[in-house]
Amino acid sequence: MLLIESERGVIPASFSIRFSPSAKLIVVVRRFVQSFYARVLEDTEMSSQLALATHELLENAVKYGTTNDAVLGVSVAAAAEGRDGYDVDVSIRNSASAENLAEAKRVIDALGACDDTFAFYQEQILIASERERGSGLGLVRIAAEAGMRLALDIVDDELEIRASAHYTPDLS
Amino acid sequence: MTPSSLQAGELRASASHSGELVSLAFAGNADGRADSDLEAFLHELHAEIAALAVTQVDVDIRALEFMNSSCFKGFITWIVQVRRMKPPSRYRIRFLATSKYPWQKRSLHAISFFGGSELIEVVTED
Repeated sequence: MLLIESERGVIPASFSIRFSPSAKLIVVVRRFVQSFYARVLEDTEMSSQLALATHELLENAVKYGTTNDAVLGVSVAAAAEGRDGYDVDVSIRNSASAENLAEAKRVIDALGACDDTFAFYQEQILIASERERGSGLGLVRIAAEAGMRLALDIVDDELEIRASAHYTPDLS
Repeated sequence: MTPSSLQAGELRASASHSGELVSLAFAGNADGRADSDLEAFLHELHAEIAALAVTQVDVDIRALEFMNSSCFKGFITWIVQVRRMKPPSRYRIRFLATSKYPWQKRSLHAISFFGGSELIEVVTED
Protein backbone atom coordinates (compact mmCIF):
# COMPACT_ATOMS: atom_id res chain seq x y z
CA MET A 1 0.00 0.00 0.00
CA LEU A 2 1.28 3.43 -0.94
CA LEU A 3 1.81 5.70 2.02
CA ILE A 4 2.13 9.40 1.48
CA GLU A 5 4.20 10.88 4.26
CA SER A 6 4.38 14.60 4.60
CA GLU A 7 4.31 17.30 7.20
CA ARG A 8 0.56 16.81 7.11
CA GLY A 9 0.67 13.24 8.29
CA VAL A 10 0.40 9.81 6.79
CA ILE A 11 -2.14 8.97 4.10
CA PRO A 12 -4.09 6.71 3.67
CA ALA A 13 -5.76 6.67 7.05
CA SER A 14 -8.90 4.58 7.02
CA PHE A 15 -10.92 2.39 9.32
CA SER A 16 -14.14 0.45 9.41
CA ILE A 17 -16.13 -0.69 12.42
CA ARG A 18 -19.29 -2.76 12.84
CA PHE A 19 -21.07 -2.01 16.08
CA SER A 20 -24.39 -1.16 17.69
CA PRO A 21 -24.47 2.63 17.54
CA SER A 22 -26.15 3.79 20.74
CA ALA A 23 -26.31 7.53 21.44
CA LYS A 24 -23.45 7.27 23.94
CA LEU A 25 -21.22 5.39 21.49
CA ILE A 26 -21.97 7.80 18.65
CA VAL A 27 -20.41 10.60 20.70
CA VAL A 28 -17.34 8.46 21.37
CA VAL A 29 -16.90 7.59 17.69
CA ARG A 30 -17.46 11.18 16.57
CA ARG A 31 -14.79 12.40 19.01
CA PHE A 32 -12.40 9.73 17.76
CA VAL A 33 -12.96 10.70 14.12
CA GLN A 34 -12.49 14.37 14.92
CA SER A 35 -9.32 14.00 16.95
CA PHE A 36 -7.77 11.26 14.77
CA TYR A 37 -8.25 13.11 11.49
CA ALA A 38 -7.32 16.45 13.04
CA ARG A 39 -3.95 14.83 13.74
CA VAL A 40 -3.68 13.02 10.40
CA LEU A 41 -4.72 15.98 8.24
CA GLU A 42 -3.59 18.70 10.60
CA ASP A 43 -6.78 20.46 9.66
CA THR A 44 -9.45 21.00 12.31
CA GLU A 45 -11.96 22.29 9.74
CA MET A 46 -11.80 19.13 7.63
CA SER A 47 -11.80 16.81 10.63
CA SER A 48 -14.83 18.66 11.99
CA GLN A 49 -16.67 18.06 8.71
CA LEU A 50 -15.82 14.36 8.83
CA ALA A 51 -17.03 14.25 12.43
CA LEU A 52 -20.31 15.94 11.52
CA ALA A 53 -20.93 13.48 8.69
CA THR A 54 -20.05 10.57 10.99
CA HIS A 55 -22.46 11.71 13.69
CA GLU A 56 -25.39 12.41 11.37
CA LEU A 57 -24.99 9.14 9.45
CA LEU A 58 -24.76 7.13 12.67
CA GLU A 59 -27.84 8.80 14.13
CA ASN A 60 -29.67 8.07 10.89
CA ALA A 61 -28.76 4.41 11.29
CA VAL A 62 -30.10 4.40 14.86
CA LYS A 63 -33.35 6.15 13.95
CA TYR A 64 -34.15 4.33 10.74
CA GLY A 65 -32.30 1.02 10.93
CA THR A 66 -34.28 -2.17 11.32
CA THR A 67 -31.55 -3.94 13.30
CA ASN A 68 -29.16 -2.79 16.01
CA ASP A 69 -25.89 -2.91 14.15
CA ALA A 70 -24.26 -0.80 11.46
CA VAL A 71 -20.95 -0.63 9.64
CA LEU A 72 -19.20 2.72 9.69
CA GLY A 73 -16.31 3.35 7.34
CA VAL A 74 -14.12 6.44 7.23
CA SER A 75 -11.43 6.80 4.62
CA VAL A 76 -8.87 9.42 3.70
CA ALA A 77 -6.80 8.37 0.69
CA ALA A 78 -4.59 9.97 -1.92
CA ALA A 79 -6.62 11.34 -4.81
CA ALA A 80 -6.62 9.44 -8.06
CA GLU A 81 -3.61 9.89 -10.29
CA GLY A 82 -3.41 13.31 -11.83
CA ARG A 83 -5.16 15.08 -8.97
CA ASP A 84 -3.69 16.79 -5.96
CA GLY A 85 -4.97 16.26 -2.46
CA TYR A 86 -7.07 13.58 -0.84
CA ASP A 87 -10.39 11.87 -1.29
CA VAL A 88 -12.33 11.68 1.95
CA ASP A 89 -15.23 9.35 2.46
CA VAL A 90 -17.65 8.48 5.28
CA SER A 91 -20.10 5.62 4.81
CA ILE A 92 -22.73 3.92 6.92
CA ARG A 93 -24.24 0.56 6.07
CA ASN A 94 -27.17 -0.98 7.88
CA SER A 95 -30.47 -2.68 7.28
CA ALA A 96 -33.35 -0.37 6.45
CA SER A 97 -37.01 -0.70 5.64
CA ALA A 98 -38.21 -0.06 2.09
CA GLU A 99 -39.89 3.12 3.35
CA ASN A 100 -36.68 4.49 4.86
CA LEU A 101 -34.66 3.50 1.82
CA ALA A 102 -37.12 5.38 -0.39
CA GLU A 103 -36.93 8.47 1.84
CA ALA A 104 -33.11 8.47 1.81
CA LYS A 105 -33.16 8.06 -1.97
CA ARG A 106 -35.62 10.93 -2.34
CA VAL A 107 -33.39 13.29 -0.32
CA ILE A 108 -30.16 12.22 -2.04
CA ASP A 109 -31.73 12.49 -5.50
CA ALA A 110 -33.05 15.96 -4.67
CA LEU A 111 -29.60 17.02 -3.48
CA GLY A 112 -28.05 15.67 -6.65
CA ALA A 113 -30.54 17.54 -8.82
CA CYS A 114 -30.35 20.92 -7.10
CA ASP A 115 -28.07 23.67 -8.38
CA ASP A 116 -27.64 25.43 -5.05
CA THR A 117 -27.16 23.20 -2.02
CA PHE A 118 -27.37 26.07 0.45
CA ALA A 119 -30.67 27.31 -1.02
CA PHE A 120 -32.01 23.75 -0.86
CA TYR A 121 -30.85 23.55 2.77
CA GLN A 122 -32.76 26.74 3.58
CA GLU A 123 -35.92 25.28 2.00
CA GLN A 124 -35.52 22.12 4.07
CA ILE A 125 -34.94 24.14 7.24
CA LEU A 126 -38.26 25.89 6.68
CA ILE A 127 -39.98 22.55 6.12
CA ALA A 128 -38.28 21.12 9.24
CA SER A 129 -39.66 23.96 11.38
CA GLU A 130 -43.18 22.70 10.65
CA ARG A 131 -42.47 19.00 11.22
CA GLU A 132 -43.94 17.34 14.29
CA ARG A 133 -41.31 14.60 14.51
CA GLY A 134 -37.68 14.56 13.47
CA SER A 135 -35.95 17.20 11.44
CA GLY A 136 -35.29 15.44 8.13
CA LEU A 137 -32.16 17.59 7.96
CA GLY A 138 -29.36 15.11 8.71
CA LEU A 139 -28.36 14.23 5.14
CA VAL A 140 -28.94 17.74 3.80
CA ARG A 141 -26.77 19.14 6.58
CA ILE A 142 -23.90 16.86 5.55
CA ALA A 143 -24.13 18.21 2.01
CA ALA A 144 -24.63 21.86 2.93
CA GLU A 145 -22.42 22.25 5.99
CA ALA A 146 -19.73 19.64 5.37
CA GLY A 147 -19.71 20.17 1.61
CA MET A 148 -19.89 16.45 0.88
CA ARG A 149 -21.60 14.62 -1.98
CA LEU A 150 -24.05 11.91 -1.01
CA ALA A 151 -24.68 8.60 -2.73
CA LEU A 152 -26.77 5.57 -1.91
CA ASP A 153 -26.29 1.92 -2.74
CA ILE A 154 -27.49 -1.50 -1.70
CA VAL A 155 -24.65 -3.73 -0.46
CA ASP A 156 -25.38 -7.29 0.68
CA ASP A 157 -29.06 -6.39 1.15
CA GLU A 158 -28.13 -3.44 3.36
CA LEU A 159 -28.51 0.27 2.69
CA GLU A 160 -25.21 2.09 2.32
CA ILE A 161 -25.09 5.88 2.37
CA ARG A 162 -21.77 7.41 1.41
CA ALA A 163 -20.62 11.01 1.91
CA SER A 164 -17.57 11.97 -0.14
CA ALA A 165 -15.44 15.01 -0.79
CA HIS A 166 -12.20 15.95 -2.43
CA TYR A 167 -9.84 17.83 -0.19
CA THR A 168 -6.86 19.88 -1.22
CA PRO A 169 -4.73 21.01 1.72
CA ASP A 170 -3.85 24.65 2.00
CA LEU A 171 -0.08 24.47 2.02
CA SER A 172 0.45 28.20 2.38
CA MET B 1 -36.73 32.26 34.98
CA THR B 2 -38.83 29.13 34.65
CA PRO B 3 -37.43 26.91 33.28
CA SER B 4 -34.01 28.10 34.39
CA SER B 5 -32.01 25.04 33.51
CA LEU B 6 -31.95 21.89 31.44
CA GLN B 7 -30.03 18.66 31.73
CA ALA B 8 -30.67 16.10 28.99
CA GLY B 9 -28.17 13.45 27.99
CA GLU B 10 -24.86 15.30 27.83
CA LEU B 11 -26.52 18.67 27.20
CA ARG B 12 -26.66 21.30 29.91
CA ALA B 13 -28.38 24.65 29.59
CA SER B 14 -29.13 27.53 31.93
CA ALA B 15 -31.14 30.74 31.62
CA SER B 16 -31.06 34.03 33.48
CA HIS B 17 -32.83 37.37 33.13
CA SER B 18 -31.61 40.86 33.88
CA GLY B 19 -33.48 43.94 32.70
CA GLU B 20 -33.99 43.81 28.93
CA LEU B 21 -31.58 40.91 28.48
CA VAL B 22 -32.06 37.17 28.81
CA SER B 23 -28.91 35.03 28.76
CA LEU B 24 -28.86 31.38 27.79
CA ALA B 25 -25.78 29.22 28.07
CA PHE B 26 -25.37 25.76 26.53
CA ALA B 27 -22.65 23.23 27.20
CA GLY B 28 -21.86 19.62 26.34
CA ASN B 29 -23.43 17.66 23.51
CA ALA B 30 -26.81 18.35 21.92
CA ASP B 31 -27.66 15.02 20.36
CA GLY B 32 -30.44 12.48 19.99
CA ARG B 33 -30.84 12.18 23.75
CA ALA B 34 -31.66 15.86 24.14
CA ASP B 35 -33.68 17.00 21.11
CA SER B 36 -37.19 16.71 22.57
CA ASP B 37 -36.20 18.26 25.91
CA LEU B 38 -34.32 21.07 24.17
CA GLU B 39 -37.27 21.94 21.95
CA ALA B 40 -39.62 21.97 24.95
CA PHE B 41 -37.13 24.07 26.95
CA LEU B 42 -36.87 26.69 24.20
CA HIS B 43 -40.64 26.69 23.69
CA GLU B 44 -41.31 27.36 27.39
CA LEU B 45 -38.59 29.98 27.56
CA HIS B 46 -39.98 31.78 24.55
CA ALA B 47 -43.41 31.95 26.18
CA GLU B 48 -41.89 33.48 29.29
CA ILE B 49 -39.60 35.86 27.40
CA ALA B 50 -42.53 37.06 25.29
CA ALA B 51 -44.26 38.18 28.48
CA LEU B 52 -41.25 40.21 29.60
CA ALA B 53 -39.90 43.50 28.27
CA VAL B 54 -36.89 41.77 26.76
CA THR B 55 -35.14 43.17 23.68
CA GLN B 56 -32.32 40.66 23.32
CA VAL B 57 -31.49 37.06 24.14
CA ASP B 58 -27.84 36.09 24.26
CA VAL B 59 -27.25 32.43 23.43
CA ASP B 60 -23.79 31.38 24.51
CA ILE B 61 -22.83 28.13 22.76
CA ARG B 62 -19.07 28.44 23.23
CA ALA B 63 -19.05 25.37 25.46
CA LEU B 64 -21.32 23.37 23.16
CA GLU B 65 -19.12 20.69 21.65
CA PHE B 66 -21.63 19.50 19.07
CA MET B 67 -25.24 19.90 17.98
CA ASN B 68 -27.01 17.37 15.79
CA SER B 69 -29.65 18.16 13.19
CA SER B 70 -32.57 17.33 15.51
CA CYS B 71 -31.39 19.83 18.12
CA PHE B 72 -30.61 22.29 15.32
CA LYS B 73 -34.29 22.02 14.46
CA GLY B 74 -35.16 23.05 18.04
CA PHE B 75 -33.43 26.38 17.48
CA ILE B 76 -35.09 26.78 14.09
CA THR B 77 -38.53 26.24 15.61
CA TRP B 78 -37.74 28.85 18.26
CA ILE B 79 -36.61 31.37 15.64
CA VAL B 80 -39.82 30.84 13.69
CA GLN B 81 -41.78 31.60 16.88
CA VAL B 82 -39.85 34.86 17.33
CA ARG B 83 -40.32 35.79 13.66
CA ARG B 84 -44.07 35.42 14.09
CA MET B 85 -44.15 37.98 16.89
CA LYS B 86 -45.22 41.52 16.04
CA PRO B 87 -42.12 43.72 15.62
CA PRO B 88 -42.62 45.90 18.72
CA SER B 89 -42.46 42.87 21.01
CA ARG B 90 -40.00 40.85 18.94
CA TYR B 91 -36.55 40.33 20.47
CA ARG B 92 -33.17 39.84 18.85
CA ILE B 93 -31.12 36.67 19.31
CA ARG B 94 -27.36 37.00 19.57
CA PHE B 95 -25.32 33.81 19.34
CA LEU B 96 -21.95 33.78 21.05
CA ALA B 97 -19.80 31.16 19.33
CA THR B 98 -16.22 29.95 19.20
CA SER B 99 -13.92 28.99 16.35
CA LYS B 100 -12.70 26.14 18.57
CA TYR B 101 -15.67 24.14 17.29
CA PRO B 102 -15.80 24.70 13.49
CA TRP B 103 -19.34 23.30 13.12
CA GLN B 104 -20.63 26.38 14.98
CA LYS B 105 -19.62 28.76 12.19
CA ARG B 106 -21.28 26.64 9.50
CA SER B 107 -24.48 25.94 11.44
CA LEU B 108 -24.85 29.52 12.62
CA HIS B 109 -24.38 30.76 9.07
CA ALA B 110 -27.39 28.66 8.07
CA ILE B 111 -29.39 29.76 11.12
CA SER B 112 -28.62 33.45 10.69
CA PHE B 113 -29.48 33.35 6.99
CA PHE B 114 -32.76 31.66 7.87
CA GLY B 115 -33.62 34.09 10.66
CA GLY B 116 -32.40 37.21 8.88
CA SER B 117 -29.95 39.85 10.06
CA GLU B 118 -32.68 41.89 11.77
CA LEU B 119 -33.33 38.99 14.11
CA ILE B 120 -30.07 37.08 14.40
CA GLU B 121 -26.56 38.22 15.22
CA VAL B 122 -23.53 35.95 15.52
CA VAL B 123 -20.42 36.88 17.45
CA THR B 124 -17.54 34.42 17.10
CA GLU B 125 -14.46 34.53 19.25
CA ASP B 126 -11.13 33.04 18.17
